[in-house]
Amino acid sequence: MKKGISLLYFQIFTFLKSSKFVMPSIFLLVLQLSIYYAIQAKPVDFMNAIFQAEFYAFIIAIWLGFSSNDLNDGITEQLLILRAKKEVLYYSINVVFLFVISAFISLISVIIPLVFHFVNKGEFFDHVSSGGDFLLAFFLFLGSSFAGVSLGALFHPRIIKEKKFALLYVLLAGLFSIARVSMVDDQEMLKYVMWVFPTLANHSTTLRGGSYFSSIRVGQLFLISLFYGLSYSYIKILILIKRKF
Amino acid sequence: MEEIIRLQNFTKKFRKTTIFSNVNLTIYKGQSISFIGNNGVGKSTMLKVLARLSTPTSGSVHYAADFLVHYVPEHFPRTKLTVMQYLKLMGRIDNLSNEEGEAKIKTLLKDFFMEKMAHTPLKHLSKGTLQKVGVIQALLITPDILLLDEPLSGQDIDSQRIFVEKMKELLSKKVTLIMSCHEKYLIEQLSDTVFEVSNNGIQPIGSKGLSLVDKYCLVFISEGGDTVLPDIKCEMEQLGNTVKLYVDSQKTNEIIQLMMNQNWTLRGMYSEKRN
Repeated sequence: MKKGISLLYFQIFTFLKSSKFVMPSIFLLVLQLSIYYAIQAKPVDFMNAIFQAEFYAFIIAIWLGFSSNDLNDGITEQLLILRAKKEVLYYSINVVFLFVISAFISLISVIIPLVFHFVNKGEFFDHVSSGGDFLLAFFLFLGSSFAGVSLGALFHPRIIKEKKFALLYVLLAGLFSIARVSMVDDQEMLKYVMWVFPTLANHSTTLRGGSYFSSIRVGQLFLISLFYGLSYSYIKILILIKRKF
Repeated sequence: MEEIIRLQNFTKKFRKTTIFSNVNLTIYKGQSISFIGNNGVGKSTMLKVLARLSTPTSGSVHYAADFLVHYVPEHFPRTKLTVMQYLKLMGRIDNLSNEEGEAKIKTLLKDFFMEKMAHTPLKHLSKGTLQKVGVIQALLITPDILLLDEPLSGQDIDSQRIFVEKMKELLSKKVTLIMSCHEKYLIEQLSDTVFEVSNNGIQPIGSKGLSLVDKYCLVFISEGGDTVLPDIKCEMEQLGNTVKLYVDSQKTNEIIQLMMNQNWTLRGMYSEKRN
C-alpha cells in the first residue's frame, strides 16, 4: 500500500513539475468559460450547458491522457517497475493517476458553472435548485473524463511506436467518440464497430427525459463511462505486460 | 551456493534477428558477473531478460524468490526534476522515511562529489554526472541483485574509484552484481565470472583472459599558458583543461618531460590495470 502511494506521488509530482498540464488546462478553462459567456439567452439551460462542457472535458481528457504517456520514459518505467517488484502494481497505480487527472478536469469543469451560479445569485441557470445538480454534473464530467484520459493513454509509445501515427489514431478516436451517435444514425451497420468508443453522445438523449438530472441515470452513465475507462486501461496493461521493453 | 536465477534454453529474437540461441546460465547469490562484447551483441538485452523486463522468445527464466532488483541504466533520463527531488522520490518508493532518505542521499552525493549539484535539474547535468545519479538511485537501499549497464561511461577517475568501493561493499553483503561492461579495469576489480557475448551465445572466459597490463596514468593540466599537446602515441582522455595519458611505466619520465616542455603542469600520477 505504502509503495503504491509513493508510486502515485512520484507520478503526480512528475506531472506537476512537467509543463504537460499547462496548455490543456488553459484550453479547458477557455473552452469552459466560452460556453457560459457565449450564451446570450438567460437563464441558461443548465443541462445543455453541462452536455457541451462534458464534450470539452472529454476532448481535453484525451489530450492529457495521451501526453501523460510521455511523463515517464522507458528507463524511468523500468526503474519504477523493478522497485514496485510487480508490473501490475506499477500499471494499476498509473490507472489511479489517470483517475486523479480526470478528477482535476472534472473539478475545473464543475467549478466554472458554480461560480457563474453564485455570482449571478442563483439566477444564471434555469432549474438549478441545489448543489445536487452540480454534484451530478461532477460525476458526469468524472466518468467522461476518465474514459477520455484512458482512451488517450491507450496510444502509449510502446503500443504505437510511431508518434505521428499515435497522434493520428488518438484524433480519430476522439472524433469517432463524439460523432458516434450521428454516425450510427446515418449508417446503422456502424453500431457493430462504434460500440468500442465511449457513449458520450448518448448522454444528452438519455438524460433529456426531465428538467433535472436524474441521479439514477447519471449513476448509470457514470458507471458505463467508468467501465469504458477501465477497459481501455486493462487492454493497455495487457499489451504492455506482454510487450515489456 | 544459493542459486537465484536460472536461464534455461533461453532464445531471444528481434523480428528475424536472433540475439541469443539456447543459452543456459545459472547465477548464484553474491556472484559478480560481467558480460563483455561488442556493441549491439545483446549485453543490455541479457540484463533486461535477467531483470524480467524483457521476455525470452523461447526458453525460461527462473527466479528462486521475489528478489529486489535495482538497475543502473547506461543512459539516464533527463527530466525537470532536480537531483534531490528525484532521489527523494525514489527513496520514498524504497520505503525510506524522509529523514532516512535525505541523510542517505546527502552521504551518497558527498561520496560522489555531487553535493553542489543537489538542486540542479537532471536535464542540465552532463552524461557522467547523470550516470552518477543513476548509481546513487540504485544504492539508496541494498538490493538483492544489482544490474549495471556500462556503469562507468563518462565518469571521472575519482568517482570510478568510489564506485568500485561501493560495489565491493555490496559484494561483501552478498549482493549479486550483474554487469554489462567494456571497462576491463572494472571487470578485474569486481567480477568473479566473465562471459563474452558473441555468436548468439555466451562463452565463459577468465578475467585473466582479458590480458590487463600495468599502465601509468599521468594527469596534466593547462594553467592558461600556451600549452600544445605533443604528438604522443598513447591512450588519452581530455576534459576541459585536463589531460590524462595512459603510458607504459618505462616511458613516464620521457613523456612528463615532453609535456612540461609544452607548458603542461603535472597534477597526478597513479598506476592502473588497462588493456
